[in-house]
Amino acid sequence: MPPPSDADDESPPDVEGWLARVRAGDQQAARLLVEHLYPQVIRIVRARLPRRGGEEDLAQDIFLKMFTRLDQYQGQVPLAHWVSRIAVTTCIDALRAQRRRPELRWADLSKGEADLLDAVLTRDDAADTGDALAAHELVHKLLDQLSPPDRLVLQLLDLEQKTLVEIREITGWNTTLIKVRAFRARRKLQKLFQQLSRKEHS
Amino acid sequence: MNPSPATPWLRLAAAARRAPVPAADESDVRAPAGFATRVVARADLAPAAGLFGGPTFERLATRALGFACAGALALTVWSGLPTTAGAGTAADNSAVADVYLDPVGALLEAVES
Repeated sequence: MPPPSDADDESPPDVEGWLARVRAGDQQAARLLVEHLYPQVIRIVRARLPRRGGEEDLAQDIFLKMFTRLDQYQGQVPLAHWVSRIAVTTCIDALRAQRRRPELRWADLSKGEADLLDAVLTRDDAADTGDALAAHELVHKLLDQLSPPDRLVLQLLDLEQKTLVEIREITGWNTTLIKVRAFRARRKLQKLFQQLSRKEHS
Repeated sequence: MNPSPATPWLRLAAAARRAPVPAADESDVRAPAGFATRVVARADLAPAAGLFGGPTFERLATRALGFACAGALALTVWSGLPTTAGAGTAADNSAVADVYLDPVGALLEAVES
């Protein structure tokens, strides 16, 4: 009997078949599953972690969790969604484990970032004239001040402009929780803007 | 014309969204050589072994260990009672001897009566 053509790039991946074989202890199927899911997992890791070091270790942790919990997967959601939730949760845990960043001060900002922050605080049209790269850097410095779930929800909602349904699929959080988290995270940022502004002008 | 975002954060986020996104390199998202093998080697992929395998059996085995310890402790205490409480008559001594000879039988007798 010829061996199954798992590595054939032409045919669609037989994820269900691999899952069944992994559950029976087939290591070859497990390797195929890892290679199939790796691009999705590494994109999540790279998008959610501010520092790129150790991304492969984190991806490895995600796959180990996936195999450990495989008996909990009932197939009610696509495997990709289920794995992405594991990846997001693992990233949040990794961010929590990182040492908390020191308080952001005006002096920590580059000139471009400080000018941009001043502009968005004082002018309504700042988004049209600002330096996009400085804005990108500044946004991530501000997001670093938030808790990992708050950071994630704003990153998905305001930067990547994902819908509530998409965020629900990625994170597993319900819609109400997403809205409440976004509201609270924006309020924290508002306070942060006020603190920065007060310190700058004092 | 789009109205300007209402808060500084939303204005800043709108500006940040216009930052150029680096072109995605598809080869960069493929698993490095040996990655899948390393992961699978570290993962516990033993198949569930029917009735006596898997987490359910492990949970039951842990509970059973607790019950066994409690039972052993109770039996030790119970078997110690006659020697401390029953020093005296020959009948007491024979009861003590029965317990030592057949502690399980004595336990069953006590349960039935």
